[in-house]
Amino acid sequence: MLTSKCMKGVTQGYPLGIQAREVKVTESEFNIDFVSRVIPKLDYDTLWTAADGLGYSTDLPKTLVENYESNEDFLKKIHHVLLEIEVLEGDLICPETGRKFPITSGIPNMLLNEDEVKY
Amino acid sequence: MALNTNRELVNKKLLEELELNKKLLKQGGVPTLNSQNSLPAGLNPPNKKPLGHSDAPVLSATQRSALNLARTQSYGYYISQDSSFGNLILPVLPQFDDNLQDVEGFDNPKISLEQYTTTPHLSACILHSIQSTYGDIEGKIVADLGCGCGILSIGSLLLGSAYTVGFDIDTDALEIFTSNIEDYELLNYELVACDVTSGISSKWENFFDTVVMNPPFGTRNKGVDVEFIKAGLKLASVVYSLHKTSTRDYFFKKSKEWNVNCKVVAELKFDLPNTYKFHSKKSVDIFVDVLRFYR
Repeated sequence: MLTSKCMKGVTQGYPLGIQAREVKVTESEFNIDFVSRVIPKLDYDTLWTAADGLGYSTDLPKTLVENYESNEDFLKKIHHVLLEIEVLEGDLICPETGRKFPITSGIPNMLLNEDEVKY
Repeated sequence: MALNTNRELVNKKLLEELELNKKLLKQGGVPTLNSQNSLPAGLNPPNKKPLGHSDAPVLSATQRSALNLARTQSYGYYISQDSSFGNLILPVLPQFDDNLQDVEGFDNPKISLEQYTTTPHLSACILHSIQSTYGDIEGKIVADLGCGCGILSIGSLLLGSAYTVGFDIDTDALEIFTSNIEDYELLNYELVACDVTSGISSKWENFFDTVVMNPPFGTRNKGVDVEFIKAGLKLASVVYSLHKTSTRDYFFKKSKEWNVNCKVVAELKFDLPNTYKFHSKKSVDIFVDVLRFYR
């Protein structure tokens, strides 16, 4: 999830839409320090929209809660969305061009074809 | 076991060397580690130090004997290096090395990408020297540029990184990465297929605490090593990168241009296996530096 959400580039619009064909939900160790450190690095709205698009926004507040560092319950939800929901197969879609970046086996492929690269 | 015989051989050699060094000292001569070059072929003493670099940590005779002793009497590996804490000799844990042994290298290496497999031992040395000297792996958000089959990424996760993201242009290599990491029950990682030199989204800027990489050395594709470091410096304020020792001065100069600091963290020996058809020798040892670029 993290990669999908943070993509932005000159040739890629932002935020990228996300379309999932296969989603895997796993369990991973909750690292409170990591989650609270990573939140300010993310665009929360985009994260929420993405989670919503995948159908995982029910528990997630629409806006970033205040003093989230001390809100373990909230941090656990973010942890779940960021680290435990993995889009195995799907596409990231550029909102401007409609260009699809495929996700295969959980790996988003941001490689552009030669004719797409602007120098 | 062959290993034990080798160890004994090394032991014997090192003892002889120490004796020789003692004699030289008495005569007022300066012993050098160059004499290690006389080790029997096929043996790879860990991290043989090249000479002739004024900024390399200078070991006194006592320190050098201690290092040699540690190397011969312990099952661990030890590296010598410059540390602000006065730890000139750092242990590199062998267990960790073993943990990485199962990580597979490239199936069909691509010369255009200068793909060479970073050996488990070398990776362990690199990561341990980074962690033990600067604490830049454990609990950190790490990016691995040109991660290939993932040995540095997996190593960083084993050393306790909070999150590691591997970037590589080669989807074949990323597939091997995925099958490599399956055995480790590690979930706090992510892979992105993209061109490191031009395709990393600006959204990642300063997202990471630490960047590690064994980039292409730029032998085939000139300047690509420099592009990798520049890309790394956008992602984090600290970049660790492996380069040929022969290019050290070049990178010192470059780092001044970029207004960043550059320091040699460790000098290692890269036992480059015969990877491509044009390689005539079975393997070649090249000396490499772990350079630390930081703002």
